[in-house]
This record gives sequence, C-alpha cells and structure tokens, in this order.
Amino acid sequence: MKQLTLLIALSILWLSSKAQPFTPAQIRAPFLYHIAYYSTFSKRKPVENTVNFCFLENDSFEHMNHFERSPSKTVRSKAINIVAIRDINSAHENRCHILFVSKAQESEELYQEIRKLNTATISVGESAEFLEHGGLMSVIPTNAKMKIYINQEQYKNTSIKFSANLLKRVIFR
Amino acid sequence: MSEQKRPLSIKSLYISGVMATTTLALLLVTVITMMSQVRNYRTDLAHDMEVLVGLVSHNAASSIAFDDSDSEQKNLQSLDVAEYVLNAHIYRLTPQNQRVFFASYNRSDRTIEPAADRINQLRTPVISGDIIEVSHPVVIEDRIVGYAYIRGSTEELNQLITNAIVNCIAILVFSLCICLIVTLYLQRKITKPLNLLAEEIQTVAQEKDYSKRASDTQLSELNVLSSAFNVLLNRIQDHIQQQENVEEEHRKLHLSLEEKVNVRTNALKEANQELIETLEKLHQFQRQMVENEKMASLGDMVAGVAHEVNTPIGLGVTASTMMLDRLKQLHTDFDNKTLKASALSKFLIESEENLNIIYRNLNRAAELISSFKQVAVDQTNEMIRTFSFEQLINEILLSLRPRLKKHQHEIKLDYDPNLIIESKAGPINQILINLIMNSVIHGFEDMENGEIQIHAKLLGDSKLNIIYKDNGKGIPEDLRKRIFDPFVTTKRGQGGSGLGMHLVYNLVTQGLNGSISINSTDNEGVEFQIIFPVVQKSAVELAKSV
Repeated sequence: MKQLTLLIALSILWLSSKAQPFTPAQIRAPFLYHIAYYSTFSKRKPVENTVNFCFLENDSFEHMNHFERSPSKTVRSKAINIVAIRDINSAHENRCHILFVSKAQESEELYQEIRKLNTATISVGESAEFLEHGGLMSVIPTNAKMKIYINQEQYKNTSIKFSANLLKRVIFR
Repeated sequence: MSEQKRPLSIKSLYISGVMATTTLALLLVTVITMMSQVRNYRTDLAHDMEVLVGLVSHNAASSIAFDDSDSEQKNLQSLDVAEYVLNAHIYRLTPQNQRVFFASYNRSDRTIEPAADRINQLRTPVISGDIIEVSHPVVIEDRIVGYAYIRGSTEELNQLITNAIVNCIAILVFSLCICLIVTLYLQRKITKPLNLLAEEIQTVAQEKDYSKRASDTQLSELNVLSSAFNVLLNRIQDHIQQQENVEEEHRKLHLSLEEKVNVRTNALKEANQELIETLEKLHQFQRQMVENEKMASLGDMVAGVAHEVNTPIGLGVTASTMMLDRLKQLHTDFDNKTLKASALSKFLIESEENLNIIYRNLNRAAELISSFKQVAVDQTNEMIRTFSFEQLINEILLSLRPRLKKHQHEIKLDYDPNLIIESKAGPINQILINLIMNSVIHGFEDMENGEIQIHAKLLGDSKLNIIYKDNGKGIPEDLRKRIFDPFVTTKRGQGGSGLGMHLVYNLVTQGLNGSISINSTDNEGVEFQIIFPVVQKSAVELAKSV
C-alpha cells in the first residue's frame, strides 16, 4: 500500500514537472553559476573580489536575464559581476571568469579568440560546434536533460581546476 | 501496647547490611552505567546519522545543482553498506520553495512515504520506536537548494542496549555472589570469636564462677573487650572477697553487738527496776512529805489553837482558883462562925465576877475550839459545804495569829462580806495558809512591815477569783518557772521542804478543779491568781446547812 502511495506521489510530481516546461535558457543559466561554483580559478593579478560572468548574446540577453534572476549573488563568498559584452575582444577587457557565448554569436573570429581565453576563462557555449571549434564547455540539452560537455584538449590547456562534483557529471569530447 | 523489639543478630545484621549496601551500590552503578551507555549509544547513533546525512546532503548539492538525479541515485546506493540505514531521500527546493522529490535509497525496497513535510521537524535526530530519522539541508553558497533525509533502524542500538543490560545483570549477579561469599567468610571470622566470647560470658554468668577468664581472639577489638571483661571479673572477684570479709566482720560485730546489747539490756533492766523502785520510793516519800506538810500545817494550827485557848483557860483557871481560895476562906469563916455578912457579900460579888470571868473565858475557849475544830475538819476533809468566805478568812487569820503577831505585817482584805459560797473550804484554807506563810517566811524575810492583799470576787455565778498579793522580795525568774514543782525551796536545810507550793498547786488543780497562775517581779512582790468553780449561796441556805 505504501509503495502504491509513493508511486502515485512520484507520478504526480513528474506530471507536475512536465506540466511546466522550462526553456533551455532557464535551465542553462543556473548551470553557469554551478560551473563557476565547482571550479577553482587561478589567481590573477590584480586580485579580484568578484567573479565576472560575461554574456555574449544577442540583444535579448536571454541567458543573462535569467541569470540575473538567480537568488545567488555570490560564488564562494565573492560577489557576482554580470557583464554583457558585444564582442569577444571585450572578454579580455572585462577579465571574464565565465564567458557564455550564444550560438548566434559564434563565428570564426570568435573561434580564433576563444582558444586564447580558455587558459583563464571558462567559455561555455550552447552548441556542439562551439565545443568542436575550441570552446571549453558546452551545455547542450539531451533527452530532456542538460548535459555538460568539455573539450578534452582545451581542458588540458586551461589553468582552471574543476571539482570532481562537476567532472563526474560532464562528458569529455 | 508496644511490641517488644526482637534482638538483632550480628550475623544477619552484617550479611543483610553488607549485601543490601553492595546490592544498592551495584544497582546504582549498573543503572547509571546502563543509562550512560544507552545515552552514549543513542548519542553516537544520532551523531552518526547527523554525519551521514551531512555527507549525503553535501554530495547531493552538486547533483541538485546540475539536476543530476541519476547520479545522485547512484550515490545513494552507496548507503547500502550502512546496514542501519533504511531509507534516504533527497528533496530539491524549487524556486517556489516547494520540496520536490529528487532521489532516494530504499533498503530492500522498503519504500516509505515522502518525509518532505516533516523535514523541518527532523533537523535534529528523532528516535521513535525502532526508527531514527534526521534531515539536513542541501546548501550551495549559503542557499538551501534541497534537503537530505535519512531514516535509520535502531535495532542495532536496541540490541546493544539489550546486550548491555544482560551483561550488567550478569556482572551484578556475579558480583553479588562474590560479595555474599566474602561477606559470609568475614561474618564467620567476626561472629565466631564473638560467639565464643558470649559463651564464656554466659558461662561466667550462669555458674557465677568469677575465676574464669575470657580467652584472646583473632580480632583485636574483641581482645580489648575480653580484656575489659577480664578486668571486670578481677574487680568482681576483689569486690566479692571484700564483701565476704566485710560480711564476716559484720557478722562478728553483730554477734558482739548482740552480746553487748544483751548485757546492756540486762543492765538497763536492772537499772530500770532500780529506778522504778526508787521512783516508787520517791512517790511514797513525796506522799509522805505532803502528808507531813499537811500534818505540819495541822500542828501549826494546833499550836495556835493551844495558844489561843490557853489564855481563856488560864483566866478561867485563875478565876476558879481565886474562887476556890475565896470559897475556902468563906468555908473557914463559916466553920469558925466568923463569917460576916460583908465578907459573904464580897464573896458573892467576887464569885459572880469570877464566875463571869470563868464563863466568858470558857465560852471563849469553846468558841475557839469550835472554830478550830471546823478548821481542823476542813483541813483534813475535802467535803463540799456552804460557808461564808469572810468567816473562813477570819478563822484562817485567827489560826495564824500566833505566828503573825511576831511581825508587823499587815493583811488587807477586799471581798464582799456577804459572800457565801458552796465549795471545799479545806483546800482553800490550806492554800491561803501556805501562801501567807510563804509570804511571811520567804517574801518578808528581811522585812518587818510587809503587806498582804487578798482580793476575792465572783466571776459570774460559778467561779471565784482570788488574787493574792504581797510586796515582798518576789520570786526570781528561774525559780518562778518551777515554783509549783515538788521539793523546790530556797530554804533547804533550814526547815523548808519545798512542797508548799506544790501542795498549793495540787489543791487548786485537783482539790478545787481550778487554775493558778503566778506573776512576780524581783523586789516587787508576787501575785497569785486562783480561779476555781463555786456555787454562790445565800445566807438562808448557809443557815440551813449549819
């Protein structure tokens, strides 16, 4: 009887979750925060007291907007700094720790620059192409779940350390 | 009625006391130990559960962060090694703060209802029955993103507690058995010498053989007791010996005393007999002396009577002699015929005168004798009669005249001349004679002009009060106190018998049934007050009685 009750409860929970679907941007935005949370950035000079989240998106800045709504305002006691950038070059200037690049902003020029950024910045895309062209990480929806992919080659070159809690959930490519 | 308490046995007291104390102590230790152990077990289990749920929640943080329930489900399977974990749930917190089931672990498909609603109540471990439950928030950067819930079994804890209780009881029983054995051993060590000493004391008490001594034991305290008992026996022996000596001495003294008492008793009896005889002689002597005193008084009276009667008798004899001479002369003249008429006439005249003289003097003598006869009768007779008090006084004074006329003493009389009473005249007579003669002999010893006052008056109709006073030298106080005792005199060896006032006292108190008191001051005379019962009579009654 208890098993039946639990089954019914789980079904109701599953149905309720299905009844309110989230957009990929809504799901991916928190992922960016948690990627930063489970990563250790090499110390850079001058020492920064913020964790800079840079968003290179189209004008709607959908991911950034969702990210801004996140209740978390710090990462490991460092304040979150959200930066909207227009081009990849601005990433250097803004000393981004996390750089999200939307699929629309991907370009050959970006691919060329992104490799340089990966040493100190976690570049996160939303497509497999981004990963293939030098991006460090991509968060791609797969079977109704967001999967994190890491470019193994770029992972070797970066100075950023990823927590096991993160690494055990990523798929290396 | 209070029930008499049964005497306590050292054996039972010792065993029960030691065993009770030991049992209580062991029980206390056991209970405290068990309670402490159970508490420690529970605390350890709760702590283990808290640590475990903390680890699970920590590990679940990344799963929730990356929405990786599959990985978390696998992670939770690792709890399979912790046999006491029955269920583990991970709940994810939605943006609307709803707790949504995220992942779970159920041992042997022992699924349970979600505990999402009770998460907050289980922040600290809660044990109910055989179940322990605890929850812990899943936190990322100080933000709760979900909850971990673990439900464990306390069967192991209960088993541990049961084992602990069994072990404690076993240890308790074993300890009590050891304690009982040790107690019995020690009790024998203590009570055996005690019983031995008690038996020795009982033997001494029953046989009263105080020469026995208590033997030493293995217990030093009992040795002190037996030593003290032996000292006591020594003292008792000494005391008994002393007592026997004292009793022997006492017995000897008693025998000696009895002999002495018998001797003294006999001596006393003899002395007493002698005293009785002496006293009897004294009484006889006293009675004789009193009688002699009375007779002496009577002799005095007789002398007075003789003296008083002598004068009229002498006058009578002289007158009769003269008459005889005149008669002889007349007879001669008549024979010689020389009788003259003148001589006869002279003879007749002289004869008449002489006869008158003789008559008057004989008459006087007769009166005197009659009076003295009455006095004499009164003095030797205590018959009650009616008499005139004045006549009695006059007869007394008349009888004393020969003695009184040697001195110039004055006797003043103060009483009713018509006082006629019925009483015993003799005792009154003797009383007043003795008082007057005492005043003359003792009171007026060196005086020639003493004064005696005799007052008499009736007190009512039934008592006569006679106050006798003189102005002599009085009676000293030491003599006054015993003036009425017999043989009290200041003239011993000079003719005083010392019985006069004793006679007065006896006459007043016994003869007249009255009382006498004395009041005297040195050199100011003496006063006697005599009160005795009388019956007042009239002159007619006096005349009838004569």
